[in-house]
Amino acid sequence: MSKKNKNKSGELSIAQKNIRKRYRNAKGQLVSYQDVQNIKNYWRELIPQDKKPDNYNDPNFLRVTLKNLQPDELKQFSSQGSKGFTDEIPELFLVDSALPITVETTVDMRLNQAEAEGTKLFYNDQKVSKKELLAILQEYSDQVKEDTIKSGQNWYKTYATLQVDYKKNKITFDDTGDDTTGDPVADKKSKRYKDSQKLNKEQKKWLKNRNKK
Amino acid sequence: MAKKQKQKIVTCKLNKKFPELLDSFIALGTPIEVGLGKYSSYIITKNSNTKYKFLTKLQTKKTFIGYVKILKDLKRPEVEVVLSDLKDSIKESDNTYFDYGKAQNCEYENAVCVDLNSAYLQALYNLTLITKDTKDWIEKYLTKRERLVAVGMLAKQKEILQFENSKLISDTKEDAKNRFIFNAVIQEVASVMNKVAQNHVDDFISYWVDGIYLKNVFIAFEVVDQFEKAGFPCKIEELTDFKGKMSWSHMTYTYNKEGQSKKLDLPIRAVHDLRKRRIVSVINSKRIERNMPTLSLDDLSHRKYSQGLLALS
Repeated sequence: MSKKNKNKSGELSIAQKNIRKRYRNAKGQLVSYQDVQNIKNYWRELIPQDKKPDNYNDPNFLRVTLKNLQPDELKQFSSQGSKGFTDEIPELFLVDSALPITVETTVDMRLNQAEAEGTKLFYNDQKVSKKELLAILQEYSDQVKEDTIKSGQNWYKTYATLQVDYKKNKITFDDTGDDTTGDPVADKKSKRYKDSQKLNKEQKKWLKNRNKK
Repeated sequence: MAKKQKQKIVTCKLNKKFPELLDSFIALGTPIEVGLGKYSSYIITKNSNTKYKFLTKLQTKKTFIGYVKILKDLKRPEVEVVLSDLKDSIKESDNTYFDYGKAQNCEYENAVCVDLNSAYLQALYNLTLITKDTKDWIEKYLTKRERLVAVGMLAKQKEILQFENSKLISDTKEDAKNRFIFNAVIQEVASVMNKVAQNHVDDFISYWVDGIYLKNVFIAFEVVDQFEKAGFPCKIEELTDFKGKMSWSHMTYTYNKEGQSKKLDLPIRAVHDLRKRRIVSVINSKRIERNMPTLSLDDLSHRKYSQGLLALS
């Protein structure tokens, strides 16, 4: 390793450590995050339980499999795996818990996994970092807690709905309101409200530009 | 062969996009099992042994405690005979939730609603199925919505669909052993409502589940007395600007209560029965293609609140 790539104490930087953890193909080339996700999905969703190989549950299974694939084979598996994704799924993750023991997946755990898998993170339409999204989710959770206490109730757990798009390797937290209830009348009202808010935003922008002239 | 993986459970939100998401799961062509209920549904992808649980709202721990207390009371030896009688005599097709006098437009400056307190819980107690302790605990600690969910859990029954290669392979209904109890509760409340409606034909406007609407404010006290004698504590709510409007499929009532405007839609039965007959014919045409047993209208009346029906049609 060249002198340039080492820090003062002679240790590898975080970026250097991370690149060592990345998957490589039979030619030693780095495999893209997207291809890794697709191949993981190929084995997960397209191969039946009884057809999965003996070492499937081995933590090194994916690393070993990718290491044995030539670039063209890898592309073929990736292409197959990419067909095995659904639309984005509204998954619920725990933000805060008043109870000391919980086995549920927290937002921290999910976003750490997302970081390792190169997942892009979004808050509404805006791309954000993991740190920023965690701060937004904490603020959202605190607001829920505040509202609950003010309405004379206790809170036990708070959850956030993250739209997990496995196909595009993207996670979105949309707080403009997934307040859908399943009741068509109420939901229609909510959509109308959202649309009117959007229109109002556009009209305010127009007014701002007009005042500048 | 690899050791079978432990089932992974992913909790998700059941929102209006669920039918589209379900379609995208079916389109994959891999084997899936789908369970459809009123408040929750699930999709199991068999290859990855992952269960996606879709919930409208996460229920509080208190709601489950209330439900468990009810279940515990139902196991008491002294209710065995009552339960056995109910099981033999209650038919789900006899459930009624609403009624209205004549289907016509109406307008009243003042009206009243006599509303039963914790109607379904009280009916469970009146049928001797739960103890006073359980009733008091649920009334004290659970909100109105939580109470309804705790009692409603007795009725939980899912429609289970199996898909392979994007085709429906089987369609069964989960066994719901306590559903007849929930039906008995519905019918107990409805019988009291119907009795009051018949005794006050001239003053009766309509009823919806646990609230009865009356034209005459003075008659309300007599109705309260009648409900209380039947074992249902209740309260009087004064309403103003009460209007009833008839459309082709619904009777729509609008009124003001404590300064807030409210709306109630009651379906017109004949129109909905016709719609049900049409849905049955659509579903059966799909079943015939797959050589599956056809549905009867009676089957469908059991499924009127099932989201599964909507997804299939």
